[in-house]
Amino acid sequence: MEDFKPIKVGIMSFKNSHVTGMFDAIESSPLFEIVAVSLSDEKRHQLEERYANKHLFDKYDCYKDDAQMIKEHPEIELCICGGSNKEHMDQFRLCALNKINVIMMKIPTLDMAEYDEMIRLEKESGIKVSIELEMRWYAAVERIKSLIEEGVLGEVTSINALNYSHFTLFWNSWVNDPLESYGKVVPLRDNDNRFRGGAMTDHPHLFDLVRYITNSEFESVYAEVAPNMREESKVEDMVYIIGKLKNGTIVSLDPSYANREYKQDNVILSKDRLSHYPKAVQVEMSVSGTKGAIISDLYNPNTTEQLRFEDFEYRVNPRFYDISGTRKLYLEEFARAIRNNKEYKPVISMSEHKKTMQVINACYESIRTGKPVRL
Amino acid sequence: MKTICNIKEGVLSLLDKNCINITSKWDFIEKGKNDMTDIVTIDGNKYPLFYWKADPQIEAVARNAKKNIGGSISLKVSGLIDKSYGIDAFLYKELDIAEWVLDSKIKKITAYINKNAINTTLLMENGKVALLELGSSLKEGTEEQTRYTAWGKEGMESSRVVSTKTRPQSIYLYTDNTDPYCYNDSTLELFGLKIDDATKAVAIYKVLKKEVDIKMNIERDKTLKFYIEKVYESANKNECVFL
Repeated sequence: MEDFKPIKVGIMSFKNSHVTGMFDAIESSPLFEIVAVSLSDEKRHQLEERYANKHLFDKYDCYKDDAQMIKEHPEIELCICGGSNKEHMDQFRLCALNKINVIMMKIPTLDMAEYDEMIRLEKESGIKVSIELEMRWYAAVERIKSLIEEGVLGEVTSINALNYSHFTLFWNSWVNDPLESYGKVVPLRDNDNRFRGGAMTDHPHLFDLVRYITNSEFESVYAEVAPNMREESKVEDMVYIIGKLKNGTIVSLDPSYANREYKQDNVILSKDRLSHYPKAVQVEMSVSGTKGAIISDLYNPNTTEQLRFEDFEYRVNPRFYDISGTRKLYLEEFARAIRNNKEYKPVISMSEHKKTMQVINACYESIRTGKPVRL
Repeated sequence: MKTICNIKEGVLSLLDKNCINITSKWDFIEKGKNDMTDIVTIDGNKYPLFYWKADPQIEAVARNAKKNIGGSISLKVSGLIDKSYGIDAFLYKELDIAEWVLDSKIKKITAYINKNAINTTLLMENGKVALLELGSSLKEGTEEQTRYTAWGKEGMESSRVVSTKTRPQSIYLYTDNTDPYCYNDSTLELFGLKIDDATKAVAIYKVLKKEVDIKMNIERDKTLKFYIEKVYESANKNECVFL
């Protein structure tokens, strides 16, 4: 076992639903030590219920305020900025000013002035920043990229992709609050009672993957929102984007909350019920070229089907090797980079990821005007 | 078991099995390279055949979009077809299916086109939305791979089961190759026909027994060709086109 001084970790909020996955991975890794967490009483109780463990957070110093946590724990070397999208700027600033390395969620901010400030703070402080863009960890993405680069499809004429999931609005209400999700309250368009901040904000992966796989940027996008599936949703839940890249490839991206979730106020881990649709999360891609085509499942097609529990819930679960989770590998690589003080080349840098934020905003602009938008 | 060798034989088999006597003179003309679909001739008159209306999976999506999912809100068609079918003919079919499933005429078209690929959003007069992502990029003779999904306020229906990407086959035969030979015989009366040909045989059978009024397809053909022009107009101008 390597002789490694664990990285001292603070967790700023558990609002983003991926934070619990990171919490689990960090908790079970000898490369980390969680010293403090910052979360509301409500969230704490929700998580204790979720884990069926009233003592879940007993061994950490718990705070209700990020700044106080940082002030009282100067030994923290790494923070997970797990707040709502609106809160990320304050969290990032606090980390940068205290020279704390950052794990940032997939949407740092959709406010471009804030985004530029994050980039500036990152540079000036010298902190290492890693963005948790999980689709970059999947082997199928690399396979498609290789096949395209090898030219097996000839000239790529179109890339179409979907990223479906449930909508966590019933147990994670901030995602349905346009201020918390989008950062400001902006109606989708005139005479529409919905606001920016829904499925398109939550599923940036498709925009990122297309850019990554093709090495090309977006030239033009058009977005169309369908009527909402959910009456409760204040933000868009079904949205389609079509467009064109600078290299001529046309795209179609579907980040909809297409999989109907359970109306529950908490996810209980022992049952882990997220959506009525048997496979809660799906990421798929098809590629057309002058010489052929690809149809793919990017999110692991190696599944089992289940009927389970007293109500015979039907589930289809992707199954992964148990040797190490991809999230754990990603986190441990970051830990080593921090501890060894080596130059860290993240899978995607803050500067690179800014372009994905710009495309998402262009899509919202397209919805507002009802016209294609050029980038 | 008698093996049916072509679509016309399949139609005759269905007529025979169901003891239906057709007095009209009829024929089937396979789609040519520049045609939008196959043709059925009845007493010397030619009619475009909308064979997709006989596809049981597409029909189920269309039916349940109207009835069982709380009212549809959107349709997505994600498909690949063989190169020889042609992207315009593929678009023709899916434009018809979009109006059928969402039960409304198209109001606004926005499209991007690149050689053998078309991506288009259709805003319907009733406010619902269809997304068509189409590519005619498969090798000639490859089975069409298209998924139809309709979402509603209380559910969804899709022609692909969770986690399946391509059309499943009923039999996978492993013998002298590492890849299997596949069979997908649909009914005994159509034993031996590939599934897409079986669908066409059923579609013609329904026309001949007057379950479907094929004469309406003549006007419909003009409408669909008009829509195709508008799709190209949108893509060429990079603008939305209102109908």
